[in-house]
Amino acid sequence: MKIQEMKVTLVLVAAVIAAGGVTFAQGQSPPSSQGQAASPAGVVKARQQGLKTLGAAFKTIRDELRGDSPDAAKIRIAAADVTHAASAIGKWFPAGTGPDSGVKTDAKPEVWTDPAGFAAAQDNFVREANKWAQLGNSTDASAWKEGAASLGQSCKGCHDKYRVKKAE
Amino acid sequence: MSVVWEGRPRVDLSSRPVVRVWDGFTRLTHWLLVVLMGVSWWTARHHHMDYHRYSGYALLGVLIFRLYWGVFGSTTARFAHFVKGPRPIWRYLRSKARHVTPGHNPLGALSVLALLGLLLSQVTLGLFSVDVDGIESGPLSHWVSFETGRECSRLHQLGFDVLKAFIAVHIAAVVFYWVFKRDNLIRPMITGSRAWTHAHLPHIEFAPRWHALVGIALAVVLVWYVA
Repeated sequence: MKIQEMKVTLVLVAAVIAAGGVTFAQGQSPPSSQGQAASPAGVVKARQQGLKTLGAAFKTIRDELRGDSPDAAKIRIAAADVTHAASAIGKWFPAGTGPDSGVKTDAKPEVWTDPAGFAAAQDNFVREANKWAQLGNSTDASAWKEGAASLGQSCKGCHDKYRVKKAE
Repeated sequence: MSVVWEGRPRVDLSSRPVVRVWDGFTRLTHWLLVVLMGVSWWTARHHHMDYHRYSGYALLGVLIFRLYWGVFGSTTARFAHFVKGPRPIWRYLRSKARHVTPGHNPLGALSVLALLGLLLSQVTLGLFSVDVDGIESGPLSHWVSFETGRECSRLHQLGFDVLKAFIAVHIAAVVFYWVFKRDNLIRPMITGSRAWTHAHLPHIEFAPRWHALVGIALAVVLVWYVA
């Protein structure tokens, strides 16, 4: 390769790396600081964090209920996370935090175009979560299993209709 | 012990000499992998996670059997027989003469290793994967945290893209041999036999059936234990 061709190649490679770096940095930096928590990006971030905690809690519950001797302490901690999510979920989907806001979210526009249906699905989850909170204080493994199954169904109640489907 | 076939020549309808290169288990393994990959893809795409898990268990079993067969199987299925170093691969690539290998050629061996390795890592990642809701999960996901399970799931998805790329290369290579080298590799993988025009018949030992039964039992026990 000639020296000049090499230079051109090097410049091109450097440009691609730089462009990639800028894109990466933009993706990494949180678009809002804590002071502007009400910005769509801040709301979406808090919402995703809350749902992740809920997912992790549900995994703990399922893992414990797999075996013959579920750990009551772990289940109680997970149950507390579920209760917390149930009390907060009403504030997670304010208007203007859908896909139209430009923030990357898997929430479908239907969350806001079908508020009655979404509220009903949410209420169902809150009801199941409260039931689960009661169960969390018991030590009846079969009741736990039944409760976990209907709690999982109530999660799906929102996800099937109001969240973008993904293979992951 | 093993039955020795001195590359038993056969005469087919066109009266060209034919030699048996693949045993039935190697061929069955190959096509089972093809079918199960399709099933795994389809069930994941359409969110039939129960069937996706079953398909994964089946894949795991077939892969365990293939690894076993790579050590205790027939000559052409054994890794020690067909996996070669960089030098023989280079020699194979440079040989202008019509070079026909009974079984995997030195370059194709890399493709076999890559595809088996990728499939194994896919199945392993699937065992530990957790979905975003903590509802659907692989059978060993209780060994890892939610975050690790999610990471496995992401890699499981990424791994499928890599696998697709390698499958494309594999198919392109088979088409290349067919079109440019006039060597149909698909037929032998179905019938087990290929045309052989060389004077020297290849020396291929075919493993007895009970070897395969041991491998199948091993696969079933391991999958049972995991699932």
